[in-house]
Amino acid sequence: MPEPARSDDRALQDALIRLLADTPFRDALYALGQAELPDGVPPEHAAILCATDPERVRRFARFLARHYYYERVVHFFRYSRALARWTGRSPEQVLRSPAFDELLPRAVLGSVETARAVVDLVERHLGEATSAPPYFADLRRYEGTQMLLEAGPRVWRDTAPAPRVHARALLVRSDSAVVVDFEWDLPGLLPELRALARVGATAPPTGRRAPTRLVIARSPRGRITVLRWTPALEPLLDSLDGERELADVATAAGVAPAEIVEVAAALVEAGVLHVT
Amino acid sequence: MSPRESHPSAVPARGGTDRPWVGAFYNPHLARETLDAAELFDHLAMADAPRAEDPFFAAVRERFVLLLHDYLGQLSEPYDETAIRRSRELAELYASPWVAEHFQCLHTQDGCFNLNYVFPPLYTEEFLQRFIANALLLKSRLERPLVMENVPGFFQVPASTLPEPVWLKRFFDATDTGFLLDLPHVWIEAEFAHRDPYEFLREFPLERVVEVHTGGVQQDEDLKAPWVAPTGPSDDMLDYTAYAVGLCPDVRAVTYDAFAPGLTAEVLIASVERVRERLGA
Repeated sequence: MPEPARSDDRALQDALIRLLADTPFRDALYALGQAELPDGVPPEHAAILCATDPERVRRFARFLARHYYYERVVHFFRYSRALARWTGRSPEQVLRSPAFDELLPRAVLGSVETARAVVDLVERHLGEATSAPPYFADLRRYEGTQMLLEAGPRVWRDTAPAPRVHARALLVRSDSAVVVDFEWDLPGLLPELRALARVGATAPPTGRRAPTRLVIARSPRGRITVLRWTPALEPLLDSLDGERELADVATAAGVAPAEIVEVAAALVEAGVLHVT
Repeated sequence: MSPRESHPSAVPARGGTDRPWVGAFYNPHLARETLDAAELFDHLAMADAPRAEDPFFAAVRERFVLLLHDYLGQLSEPYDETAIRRSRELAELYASPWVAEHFQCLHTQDGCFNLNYVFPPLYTEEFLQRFIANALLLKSRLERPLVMENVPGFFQVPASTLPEPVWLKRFFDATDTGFLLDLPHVWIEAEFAHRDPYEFLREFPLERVVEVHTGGVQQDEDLKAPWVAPTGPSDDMLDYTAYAVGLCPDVRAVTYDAFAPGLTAEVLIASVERVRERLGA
């Protein structure tokens, strides 16, 4: 049995977590052993990782992957799920499909690439429904965008003080915020879809066709927020370019600085804006 | 709070009786059925914060003792202020008699990898000292008792130098926190180690147990091994539960541990009824 690393067990735990989450890393480690170490793994950790039972580790990793995406698919596609009795398709069915199994040898839990592959599978599966309400395509896109946006590294713990938003702050739209156009008024539809689970509806809600623009944002901690793109929000987001101070933007828009600071602080917390 | 008041065993039993509460997890999709069978549930464990649009949460909060059992953080690192504030707010919302956390370390320090499911820390001296220090810090900020739940490992890691029950006992002795004993976790670990589950159970610090989780175990296709599942507890598991409860002098609650969108009302109700019947509660 290899001598365990005594001074950096936490780093070894990180390597174990990666061993389970990152399939290409795991395959490289077991294939190459200690001869050619995958990036960033000290030899003493590689020795310990290699001493685990590869078959049991692979089985557990497979189990974790299915669990990981089950949680996300059920959460993000919950409105499509509520419509399953009419569409005949539950989004989580794809997780027991050969197509999902084919994806596992490349899966990296939490990565944008794997999230995109899973979202594509779900959207294709739901898109093949022969009976669905007319807003179903919009709904799938709304749900898939959120799941995709949620992927990627996140802040789990932050001891630095939160960035302070004040009148002289320089702000810019965050990369983790997207603006998406829909043909249907989804925010107006969602409460009716939520109610489907508790009322004995005999037909899905009809919805209202109305062009709708939404901002979907992810906070650094991975929380998703959806906002309507309003006439007030548009000039604010377009004007904040990281060079103009918030107070100047407020003056140009004819808004009181105190009011705009409050709005901007909420948008920073939601991940729509960030302080440069 | 005095040290004694901060221990979960100081929480009075329901109705002044000595019998433990029997309850389950709150599954929002089964809220109506849970409320309709309210007499069966002394408490509900809350795995997720209530959604703003949950029309039943106000009634649930009014009717049941609620136990905070959300993911709050991992004690391999100190909780940051955001996590502490969230823990305190949820505990206050629920009026939770204690706060539960897991012996787990499931995401990397750089935030790049996350398993999103129970995964134990290495059972080493270094991790023990980390968990002790961070649990003491958290306990001092919660202003209510902390209980910690055991989680199973599926494969051996040669770097773990202490047996899990020993590691746990030393943790509880150093922190005076309560033990949330998850019996299906112990059961499947015993099976993985080809051990007798009863003998294995007695190695754990049962004198520290405040809450017991019981539930279903099923063969998993990916693991090719048994794992916890949102099914009813078997007769064997109910016997195991009754046996464990008899060995835990300070146990306050027994919870049917199933939290899943696929859980049905029939399984939930029948499982709690069977736990009650087996415990004579």
